[in-house]
Formats: sequence, C-alpha cells, structure tokens
Amino acid sequence: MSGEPHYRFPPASAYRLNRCLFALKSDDAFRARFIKDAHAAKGELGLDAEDAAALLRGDRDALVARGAHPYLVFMADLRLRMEREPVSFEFF
Amino acid sequence: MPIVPLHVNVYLPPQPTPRRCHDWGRALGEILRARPERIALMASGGMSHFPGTDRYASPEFEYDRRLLETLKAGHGRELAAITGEELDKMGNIELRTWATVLGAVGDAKADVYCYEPSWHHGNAVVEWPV
Repeated sequence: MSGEPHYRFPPASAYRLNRCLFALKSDDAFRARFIKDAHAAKGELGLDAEDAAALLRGDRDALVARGAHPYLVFMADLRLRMEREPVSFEFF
Repeated sequence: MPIVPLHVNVYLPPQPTPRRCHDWGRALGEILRARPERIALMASGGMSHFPGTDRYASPEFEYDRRLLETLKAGHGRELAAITGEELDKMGNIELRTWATVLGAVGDAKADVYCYEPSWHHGNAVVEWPV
C-alpha cells in the first residue's frame, strides 16, 4: 500500500457491497438475518456472486480489491464476531 | 454541563485537512466562549492505526507518544500543520477530531491522564482545562 492512501473513495461499482457492509455494521436486524441465513440476507441487497463469495469467506483483501471501504470491512467483521462470540469484544 | 461532541469525516475522501479542522475548532471556540456557561468539547477517536488494512497489527505507538508530549507542552497547533497524507501514513487519520478541539483550546497545555497501547490501538485520555 506504500504511496497509496489507506482509505479511498469507493467506486460506484461497489455501492451494493458497501451498503451491505454498512448494514452489517449498523443494522441489528439485518445482521441477525445474516447470521441466521447469510445467503438469503445477501440476496436482499443484490450482491453479485463474486462480492457475495468474498463476503461469505470474510476475505478482507478480496473485498477491498472489489471496492469495499476498509473501515466498513473492519467494522462489519467486528460486529459479526461480537455477536457470534461475545468474548471477542474483550480483544478489541 | 453542556457537552459538544465533535464529529469529523475522517475515513471517506475528501476529508478535511488538519488545518481546516483546526480553523473550524478555533471558530467554534470563539462562539462557545461568548456564552455564559462552562461547556465541554468532546473529541473522540484518534489513535486507531489503520483499521481494516493490512497494517492494523503495526501501530505507530512512538508517533502517538511524541504527539502527546507535544500536546503536554502546549504546542497543539503543530497538529494543524500536519498534512492529511502524514496522518494517513501514521495511521492517525482520526486525529482530525483532535485538531478540531485543539483549535478551540488554543495553546492550553494538555493533561494526559493515560496512554495504553493495545496490539493495534493507542488508547489515551486527555483533557485541556481552559
């Protein structure tokens, strides 16, 4: 990443992906649906197959390469981990 | 006591420069000083160091410590001269909130109550009693 800023304005092509990450970060009801059935929840926001696959793998580098904002990737992952394993908050 | 929380866009370009944050804080300070009551300005965020990137486990703790020494000496205006690029390089883009409150408190010396590094963050509690 040397020479490049760590946080760039996301491309319009990644709008749905970032919207999904934002929902995972901030929308408790969506996050609960995602944890219960990730395939159904990602379908709500119209993610394409590659975005969805990267999201389901939790593949940060792939998500960022596809235009996800790194902070949203981080916060979405954190909120999911906090909900799945409440003890993870202790390590934040 | 009324509390004024400061919110600054730090993660989505185009972010304000530290200079602009400092100028805004100075203007806010002038407005608040014209009021009769004591008011607390609250600036959260700061030393988070690259969340969501591959540098998250490599925080720049020494940069934080040098900055806190600068603030203790009452030289907070130096933060306004730092570029956005330098903040990004050091993983401290959230310090824009600090630059804002520093504009309001001027050359007041900071009371640094603590600085506790974790594996990825520096956690500091600082007050400028003015």
